[in-house]
Amino acid sequence: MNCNEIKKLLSEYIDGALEADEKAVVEEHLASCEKCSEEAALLKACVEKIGSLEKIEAPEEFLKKVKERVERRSVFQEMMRGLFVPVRIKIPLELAGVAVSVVLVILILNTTQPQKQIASLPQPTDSMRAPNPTWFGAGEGLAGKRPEEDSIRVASKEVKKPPLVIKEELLSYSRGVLEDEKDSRIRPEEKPIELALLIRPKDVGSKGYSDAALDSSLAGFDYDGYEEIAPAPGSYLEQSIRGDHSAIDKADLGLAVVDSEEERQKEVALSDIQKSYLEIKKLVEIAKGEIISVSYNENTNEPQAITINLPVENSSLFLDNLNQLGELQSPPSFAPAEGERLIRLRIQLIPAN
Amino acid sequence: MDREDSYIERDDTALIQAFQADEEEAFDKLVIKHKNRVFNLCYRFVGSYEEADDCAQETFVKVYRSLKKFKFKSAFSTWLYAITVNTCKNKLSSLEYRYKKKMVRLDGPKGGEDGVYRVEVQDESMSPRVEIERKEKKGLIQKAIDSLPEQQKVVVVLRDIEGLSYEEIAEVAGFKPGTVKSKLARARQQLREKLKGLI
Repeated sequence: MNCNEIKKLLSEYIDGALEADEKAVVEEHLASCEKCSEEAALLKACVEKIGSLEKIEAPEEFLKKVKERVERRSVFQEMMRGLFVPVRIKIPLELAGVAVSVVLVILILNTTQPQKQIASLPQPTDSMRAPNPTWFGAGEGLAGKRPEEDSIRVASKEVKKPPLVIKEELLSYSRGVLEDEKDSRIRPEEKPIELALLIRPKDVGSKGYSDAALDSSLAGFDYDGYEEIAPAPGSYLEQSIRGDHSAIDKADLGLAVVDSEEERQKEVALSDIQKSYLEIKKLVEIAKGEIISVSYNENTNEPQAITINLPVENSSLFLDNLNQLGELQSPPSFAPAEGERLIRLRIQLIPAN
Repeated sequence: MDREDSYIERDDTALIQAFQADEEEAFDKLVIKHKNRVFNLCYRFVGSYEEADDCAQETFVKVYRSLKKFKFKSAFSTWLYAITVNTCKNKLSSLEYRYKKKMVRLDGPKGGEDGVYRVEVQDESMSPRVEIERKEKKGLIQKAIDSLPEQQKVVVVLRDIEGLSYEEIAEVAGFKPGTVKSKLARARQQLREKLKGLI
């Protein structure tokens, strides 16, 4: 062994930790090498110096300080334990997964609900977008039988009906807002104004109303496009105004349509209710209104109530003319809401006797 | 381990079992019995009396919290040394940072604008070196120990100051016995070089 190899073993040699053969080799080298022998002596002295360092003792109140620190830790741990109470109820993983899934589904549904509501809104129909071509008619069944149908439709197109507030309605739907007050303005037909007309007795077989009365009522309305298509003599409109009830009207009243003069004489005897209905129908047409529905008495098969839509601007004059047909009972005030274009009336026909 | 140590270990076992049986006074006896050895070890590691006091207290607090789960797989003294060494290592790492940051001015709070020359030096009032030179004449030995790398310091303190065997050091420090021998040889060689004028 050379000196470097011996130096590596000196630490263990000092501690007496070398094997016997290694110890013999080291001692043989130290006996012959003054430098390594001096190095071993210095190393041993160094170790003894380190080992001779005085023992530093703990302070007198060391135990007390330790116990105080232990106590502080315990209080702190109790506080932390109180703040973070461990959950002692074991929840199966599957149940927890199902619960989380349900919560997620509910959240997703709630998020997409407004979009679904908008998507489910009624799409604007043609009747919403444009005036009904049969605005002046009493029903689809009548339209095909009118000889002047085309001219009437032309008139209805030319009459500038105020645009329905459908656009606002759709906007309101898209905003998800359907307030009651807007509802009444937008869809007046849902809340008809109830009227009662006590029918004046009329002579049986007569035409039931005077031409003068109708003429005066006609004179009161704003004709708009009517002036351009004044009813031609003998036309449907002219006949209607004059009270010449055609087969169309009779069909509307539920009567058999007869062509022979003889049968016409038999069925000409119309009741006051039936005559009043026809008169109201004409007034509705003239006022540019629309008959929505007619309810009939099950026993007499006579009209019992008429539901109509009227332009607001013609409603007051319509009511004046209606009052001439009988004694009209109406609510104290049913002024249309601001911005309302149409009002819906339900006229109940009440016989005088 | 000699006969006396074996007696101490048997005594430690009885105290630990008593503490595990909810006898709080048994822990007090363990502290009284081992406090000086733990404190001295802490002092040789951190080189400061105050910091050694803090380390030693923290060591026994850890012992208190863990003693109920002690399984007697190793000697209590070995387990206690291991806790002490780890606590001191943590303290040294934090102290090292604090000493690097702690600086003082020699000329007062103001300076620079009035042309006065200022020098900033490290405040060593709390450093291990100053503590050592103040408390013992052989401060240079502690200074040399402080200068050793951490693992070499652990080995040389446990061997040359506490007198643990290679096997015990290996168990406390988590080294292989061969590693303990080589690290101890290098540590002693460095100390001999540093303490050449003292010896």
